[in-house]
Amino acid sequence: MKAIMSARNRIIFIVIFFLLANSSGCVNRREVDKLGLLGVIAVDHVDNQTVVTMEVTKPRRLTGGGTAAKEPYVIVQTRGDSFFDAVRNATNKFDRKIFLSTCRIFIISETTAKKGIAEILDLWCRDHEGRESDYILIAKDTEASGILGISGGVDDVPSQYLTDLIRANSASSKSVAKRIYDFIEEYYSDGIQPTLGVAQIEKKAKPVEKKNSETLLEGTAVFKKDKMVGYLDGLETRALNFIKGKVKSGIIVTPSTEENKYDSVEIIKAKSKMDVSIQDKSPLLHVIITVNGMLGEDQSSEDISDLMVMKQLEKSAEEVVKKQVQNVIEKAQKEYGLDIFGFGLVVHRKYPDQWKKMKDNWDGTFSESNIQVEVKVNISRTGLFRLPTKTKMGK
Amino acid sequence: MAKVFSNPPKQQNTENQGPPPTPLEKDLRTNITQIRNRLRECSDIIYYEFIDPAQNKGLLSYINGFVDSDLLNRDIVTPLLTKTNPDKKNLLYTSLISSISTLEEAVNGILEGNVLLIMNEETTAFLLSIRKQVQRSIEEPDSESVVRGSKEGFVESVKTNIILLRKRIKSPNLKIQTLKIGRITQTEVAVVYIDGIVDPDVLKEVRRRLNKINTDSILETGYIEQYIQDRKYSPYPTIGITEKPDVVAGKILEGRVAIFCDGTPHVLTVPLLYIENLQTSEDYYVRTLNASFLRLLRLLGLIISTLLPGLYVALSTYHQEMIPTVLLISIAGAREGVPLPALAEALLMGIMFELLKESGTRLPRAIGSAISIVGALVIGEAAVDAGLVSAPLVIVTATTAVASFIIPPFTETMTIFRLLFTFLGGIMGLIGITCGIFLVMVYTVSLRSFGVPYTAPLSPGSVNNLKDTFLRFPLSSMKNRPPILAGKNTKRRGGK
Repeated sequence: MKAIMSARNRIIFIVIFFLLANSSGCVNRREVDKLGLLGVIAVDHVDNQTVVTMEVTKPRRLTGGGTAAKEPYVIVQTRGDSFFDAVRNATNKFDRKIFLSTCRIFIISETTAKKGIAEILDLWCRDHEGRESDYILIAKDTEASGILGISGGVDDVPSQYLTDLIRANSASSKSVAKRIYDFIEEYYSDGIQPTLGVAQIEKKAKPVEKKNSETLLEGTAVFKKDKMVGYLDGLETRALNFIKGKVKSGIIVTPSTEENKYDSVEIIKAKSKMDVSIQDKSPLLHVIITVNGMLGEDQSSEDISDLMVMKQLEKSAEEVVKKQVQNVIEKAQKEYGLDIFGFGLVVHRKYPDQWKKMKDNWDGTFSESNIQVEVKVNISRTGLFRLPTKTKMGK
Repeated sequence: MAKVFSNPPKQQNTENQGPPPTPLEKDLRTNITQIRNRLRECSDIIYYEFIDPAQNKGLLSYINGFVDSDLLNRDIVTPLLTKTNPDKKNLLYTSLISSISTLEEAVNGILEGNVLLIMNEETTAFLLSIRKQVQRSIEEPDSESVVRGSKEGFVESVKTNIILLRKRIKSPNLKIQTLKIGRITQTEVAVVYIDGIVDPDVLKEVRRRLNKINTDSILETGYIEQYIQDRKYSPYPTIGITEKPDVVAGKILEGRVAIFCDGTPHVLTVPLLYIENLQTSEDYYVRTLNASFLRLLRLLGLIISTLLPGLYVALSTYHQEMIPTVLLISIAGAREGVPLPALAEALLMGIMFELLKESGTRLPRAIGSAISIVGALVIGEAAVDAGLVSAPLVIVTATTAVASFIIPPFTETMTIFRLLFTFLGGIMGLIGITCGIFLVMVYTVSLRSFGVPYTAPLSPGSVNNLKDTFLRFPLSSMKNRPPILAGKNTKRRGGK
């Protein structure tokens, strides 16, 4: 068999091949242990300068020899004229180059958020290290840096604590877990206004030992495009999640027939359907929420084995949810005048032609629209007990 | 393919033809003198002169200890001394008798372990084969142990090895052709195939290459392998090696040619396909699902063994963002205080492991365990405790080591590629590894084994022939032999 290339040509080919392959991008060799593994980044503004506070993880040695650091993280704070400048200035006082890819939480202070956050997120989207999958939170009633260094949980590393907290939150549905790309998606969409999760520092109601602060993850920050305009509290957030169909779990507390007694319904599954019909050129918005639940707690002594009692219970739960939902809709329409639910997207899908005329002033149209709320609660189980705990004996 | 086989094969081995043969003389004394002259300074040769009842002089000559002396005395010496029959063939109690007429045949006959019988006044002599079997017993080969299937392994005698094969294929189509290679050693080499299944082109090519071997000695099939293989500097084996008769049987039944060689239990099979390295005899003995799972496992082992250290180095020095954060923190923690860069660390550990492997192979078994203890302690414990290497890299090296033994024919090949990919990963990251994979693939598909594309049936591919590649389909569904190997007769089931 005749060789296609001589040995010399073959070597030249291989060398050129590798050189060409390498010339297509930047190659930057660095060892893992020389990286500053960023966990949380918090952005504040002071005197027109950006102040960046970063939690850098101190990698713990896996094996014997070294002992685990007492605090497995360091807090670095730097300032600069721009966000990127501030981040890079960390090299002036910190012994590792900050590695942005490991960042998991992005916290922005309330004051900064009110000025607009798109310009801050620009770096994260433009730079190859920053990740759009970071969770993003707004720090309420505090500087963003204040959230750092608090770990009220099992994990020593605050970034891990916050990440787990965000994930655990789906059990109450009183917050929204938003990543940067979620925000960007809503930011660029017509017909929905962005909402973000909120973190705040809470003092323990009853002081325990020295550590009294915890991070409370509850509520939502409401944005008009990239500028924050206000907050929703925990229950309002859940109502928002109900409308958007994002409720995973949670407890619906309904007043029972007896005074000062409550029944708790645990949400197993919740669905929502948003619909719209256009009548006389103005949209009629409609949302149907279906909740599958389980009786989780019964403080009264009603006979829940009675079907009528259960129907009554379902009805009162429906009313509770409906009231909460109507409440948040009213707040969005009257107080903020912003469609944070995404009704605009539904209109866009269903009436693309009319939408073109409506979209420029959609938030105004939304605020004036009539929104019908329909809630259906279905309690399918009563837990391990068939009767209330307080049943009178012999009854 | 035609071009490869364009040279017509030479039927005779020209290397063994010396000067013209000397015929035997009538006079016994002259013959004895000539034989003694040729075999001078060979103290182990016995010359037993006798006079039979008819007063004829004769000579029995053989190598002491090479022949069975009981048989010699009972079946040859006794009748010669007690009976008279001018036709010696009908006198002796042995069927392994052949007549010769030249001095060279006589001398070679003695050297091969036969008994030479020459009578006075006769120009025809006899070679009596009553050789004593000097060989170890048939055992299970160490290098290819199996759970299911035959435990027989080849031994160092080509005759015994062919019997082991005959036991499995009782067909007149099982053809055995022997030839002698090596000017001094005169090693017996047998080419074995099944007529009607074998591809005649491959067979011709095997004969051609065997006849081209010009050397004084063949001590092992490894010699033959290196003389007849396709590419001298290839890291890939292009000739199959096995110690098991059932494996050889399976391979020649698919149309391959086997090459046996006296003095070694290792038998060559050609042509070898890439995919054959991932196959074992047990794949065909166990059920389809198990066999297919094992095939995939071996494929995984192949990938891990060649790429894992390279990927580790590439990811940890260039592409940290691709490692999950929690794992990255662990790796960074483990690497803290390690003086060497990841590439040097990986190469060091790789070489350390090769050292351990080699010394473990060469050491006498009694000391072997000492090496493993020292290796485990030094590499596994002390090096990590002292902060010389990081624990994840020890895990990577250990995983690689375990995976590299899952495909025995490829162990050496994978070592070379592993070092290559570690190096590429260390200097160019994933780009280097990708380029490396590309070049290795180009090289692999360009290989041929005895005219058969090495990567067949994957490339050149055909869907029907993939039934015995990464998955092993049920035997009943493999109706045809691999057409790339078996010439025309590809039907395995049903008629002809």
